[in-house]
Amino acid sequence: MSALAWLFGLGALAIAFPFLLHLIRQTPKGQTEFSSLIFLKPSPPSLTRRSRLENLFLLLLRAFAIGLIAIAFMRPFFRGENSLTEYEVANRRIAILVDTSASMRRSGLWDQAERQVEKVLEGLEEGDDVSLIAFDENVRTIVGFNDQLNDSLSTRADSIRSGFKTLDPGWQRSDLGNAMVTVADSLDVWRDSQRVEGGQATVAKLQMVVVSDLQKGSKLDSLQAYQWPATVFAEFYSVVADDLTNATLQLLSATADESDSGLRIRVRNSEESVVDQFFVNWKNGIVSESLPFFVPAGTSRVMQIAPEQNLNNQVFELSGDLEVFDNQYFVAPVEQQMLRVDYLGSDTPDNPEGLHYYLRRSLVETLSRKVVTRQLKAGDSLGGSAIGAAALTVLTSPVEEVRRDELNDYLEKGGTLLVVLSDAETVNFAQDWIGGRLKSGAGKPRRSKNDYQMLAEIDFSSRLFQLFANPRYNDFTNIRFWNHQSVEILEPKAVVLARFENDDPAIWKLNGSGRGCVYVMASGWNPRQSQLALSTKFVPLINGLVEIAADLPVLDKSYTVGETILIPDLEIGQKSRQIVKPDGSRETITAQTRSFSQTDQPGIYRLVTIDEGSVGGVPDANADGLEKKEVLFAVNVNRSESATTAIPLEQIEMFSVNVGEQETAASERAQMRSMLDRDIEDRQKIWKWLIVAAILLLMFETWLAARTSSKSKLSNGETVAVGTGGDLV
Amino acid sequence: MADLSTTHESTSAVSPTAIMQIKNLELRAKIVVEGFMSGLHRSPYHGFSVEFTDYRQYTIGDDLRYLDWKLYAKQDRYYIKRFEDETNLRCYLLVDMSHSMGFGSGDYSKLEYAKTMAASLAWFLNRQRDAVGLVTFGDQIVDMIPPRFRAGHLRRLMLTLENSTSGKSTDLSAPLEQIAQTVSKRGLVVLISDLLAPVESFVKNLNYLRTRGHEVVILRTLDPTEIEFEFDKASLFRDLETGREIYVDPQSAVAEYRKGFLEHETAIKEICDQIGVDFFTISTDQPIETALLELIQSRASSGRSVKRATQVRGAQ
Repeated sequence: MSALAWLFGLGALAIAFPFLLHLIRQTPKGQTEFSSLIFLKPSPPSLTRRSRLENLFLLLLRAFAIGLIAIAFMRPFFRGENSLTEYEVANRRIAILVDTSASMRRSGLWDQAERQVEKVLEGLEEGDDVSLIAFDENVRTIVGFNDQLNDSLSTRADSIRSGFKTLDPGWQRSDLGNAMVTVADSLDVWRDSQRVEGGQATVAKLQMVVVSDLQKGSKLDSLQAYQWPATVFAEFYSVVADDLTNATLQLLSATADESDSGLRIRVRNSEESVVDQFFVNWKNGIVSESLPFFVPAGTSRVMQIAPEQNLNNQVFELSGDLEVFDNQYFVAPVEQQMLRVDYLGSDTPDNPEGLHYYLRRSLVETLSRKVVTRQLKAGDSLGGSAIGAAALTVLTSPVEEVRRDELNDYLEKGGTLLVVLSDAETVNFAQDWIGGRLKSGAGKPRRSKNDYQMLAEIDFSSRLFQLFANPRYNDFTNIRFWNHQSVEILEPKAVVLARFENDDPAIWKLNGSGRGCVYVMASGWNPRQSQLALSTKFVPLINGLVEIAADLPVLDKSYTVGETILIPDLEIGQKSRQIVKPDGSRETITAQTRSFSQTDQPGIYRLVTIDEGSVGGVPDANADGLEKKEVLFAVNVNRSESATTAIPLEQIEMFSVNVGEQETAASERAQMRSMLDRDIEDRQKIWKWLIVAAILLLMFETWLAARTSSKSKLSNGETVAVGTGGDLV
Repeated sequence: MADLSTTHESTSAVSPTAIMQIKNLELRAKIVVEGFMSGLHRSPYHGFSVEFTDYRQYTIGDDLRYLDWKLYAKQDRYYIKRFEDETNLRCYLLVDMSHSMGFGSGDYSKLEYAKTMAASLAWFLNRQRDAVGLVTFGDQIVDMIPPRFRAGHLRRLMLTLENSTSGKSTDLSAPLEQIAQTVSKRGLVVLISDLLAPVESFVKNLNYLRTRGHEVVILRTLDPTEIEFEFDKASLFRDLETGREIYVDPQSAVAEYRKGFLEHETAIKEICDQIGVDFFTISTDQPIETALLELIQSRASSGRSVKRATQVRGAQ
């Protein structure tokens, strides 16, 4: 015997009502106001109690009727043999995503994350599959579903626990969107595969549990373009830092001039901060030099700080903020190099019609280098010790024959020569180095205003044009070449970097006989020959060439954690390279490797190049006869990690993510059972019979009461009330 | 002391219930007094004039206007006639406004009755050109109007009576003492109160009033229920003044109440007799004229007159 609504059983308590009514000690009611009580004394209250039970049979009948009605409301039924033991209920497949981004380093968050994971594990049921996935910018499976196929529930939970123990919050930024999409996708794919294999069999319910601080800096872009699978539910166990105050700092890019007066530092304070006073200083610097810096919550302020002379001090530190993970900003020290460009040509530097005029003006000074140009006059020696210092030699017109040997020697020793073919004579003069000759019929004068060439094929993968590889900068169509030398390249090793529309080579490169390298341009840049010098491309192109020639590493000085760094090609004569991380660990870069992505911690990284020869560089005492060259670059925590305000869940729901919890097997079973019960009860309808019985009983009771009443009237000759509760008089 | 029940039947007065239907207190007083006056044959207070008492021998400096020339003609001696001068009465009406006065078993409370009574007395006394003052009090004096006889005074008095709010508890000692101290001129003090307070609390100050030379009349106003304690149901009785609640079964308590009440009344009467205070108990179901009549009759019969401050007219 069972019932649908047990609560209605409480209605049976109404049976006790008449008993209670008459057992209540009745205290006198009402209050009389009287002018004065000085002549009165309190009387002992006379209590009335009507506890004599009469007409016990009638009372029992009524109680029974009430009981029947109460039971009828409970909707009783007989369960019979119907059982749910065979009913198959789908278990859950739970992927626990744990955020290991830098913002999880905040105080108390990791402990909370552990507790949240524990909470998920406590809610597991026998048969549930569970996996542990860590994410920051990347997604890593720590404990997979397949690692524990036949394990018991406790073993699974233990393996998740031990998997979590191996995790620590890292330094990368968090890409929540990507992690969710990746996991949802894999869950959905698994479900589809199960369906194909198992036909109509029950497939586990897919649940994703995200344990994260859901900070505003998390990337969610991936969710935008993703159709969230309807079968996957995502639940968020957010962790909240004890202290919501968080500020961060950032060095703003400064020109060389500005850096003398002071560096510009931007301090940003989070929206929920309660502190608004901070100090910024070089690490280990004298704090008293820094004035308090007021940054109201949710705003940012820029301040200037004096540049540090000590090159070893490469860290800015923000004090006043208790969340220290983003309170340091690393700056790679910059050492300016002196470079020299030798110019071999007939035009003077002050002639705007010539090439030298533009070359000289294009070589700007940067923080890392300073370039001086020198026009070689007759008598000036190209050779000697000075040659090693000339990073680039530009040849624009035929020079004395003596120079030819000097130039060959220069190239032999690893120099870089730029030959600008401004006229046919230069082509003929430099024929040995440019690896080609004038085409027959070339050198026709320009016929009309519309007779011009543009660059058509540019090799953006080459180091010279790498700078322009971005689609924002790769438009060269507004540079018109009025005159150019049509050269037929004979040297097979020559690499054409750019061609004109008519397929003539415009810029090409060939390695000289020695370690040197020759770049050739088929047209000059002065306005008489082309618009190149007047275009925005000219300055970066020439400066890039100087940097290639001087073998300056094309490394930015500042990166963020997780960013892939493009590493300059290994030059001839260089043996191997290593990157030394801030914690001292080393990563060897092979000759084929062109990028480095192990930037997993903030700090100053060193790219150490080990040379075979002795072209330049600083001798290393530890090296075994080899010489080392170091390039420093700084890696900082991604700025978005400092945006620690929590994202509202509604924002994630806006991407059509099914936020919620899948039903557990137990609750589903209970639900099924209640549905079945309702069905059985609906068929049996016992309540109707109970109501009929109650009505009959009440009719009998009424008849009996009337009979008793008339009897007592006859015997006593007076009326005795037999109403409701008349059995208690 | 007068037996009020007998006098009540003897007069054809208007019933207090009818009187209380009238809202305006002044009108009530007027009706009461006029009804009372019409039944009065002669006012002992009315028509007094300078009344001769005796002679004394003339001395130099006496006013010759008072020289009895007829006697001089008979006896050839100078005599000055001495007269008893009828001055106006100064009457203080002391009305108890305590919470206990708010009790009333009928349509009106004791306070309403007391106010009407005070208004009627004031009207009556004003009519015979006496100066009437009013003091309303609870545990402290609420309002105080010194006795005057002038135009508009009666009206002011009526308004004050009408608007007086009830005080807290009955504490006769403080108001009586205050009156005794502030009122220097002797006069008639009419205290209208239920006196439902311990006798000791006001005896001293009544005595004090008497010693200051005041005539004191107490009109004890009581509800019939307070005299008889006729309740049928047992219930919680709440003291209107203190708010104290006690459970009382009237069946068992009535005897004791009556006994206590009687003892209290007897004690008051005894004390009043001792110190020469006129004491009347007036039930609120009696006509209000009774109070006036009792006051006048008792004073007339006691031989005391309201004449005060004997003065010799003439040369001092």
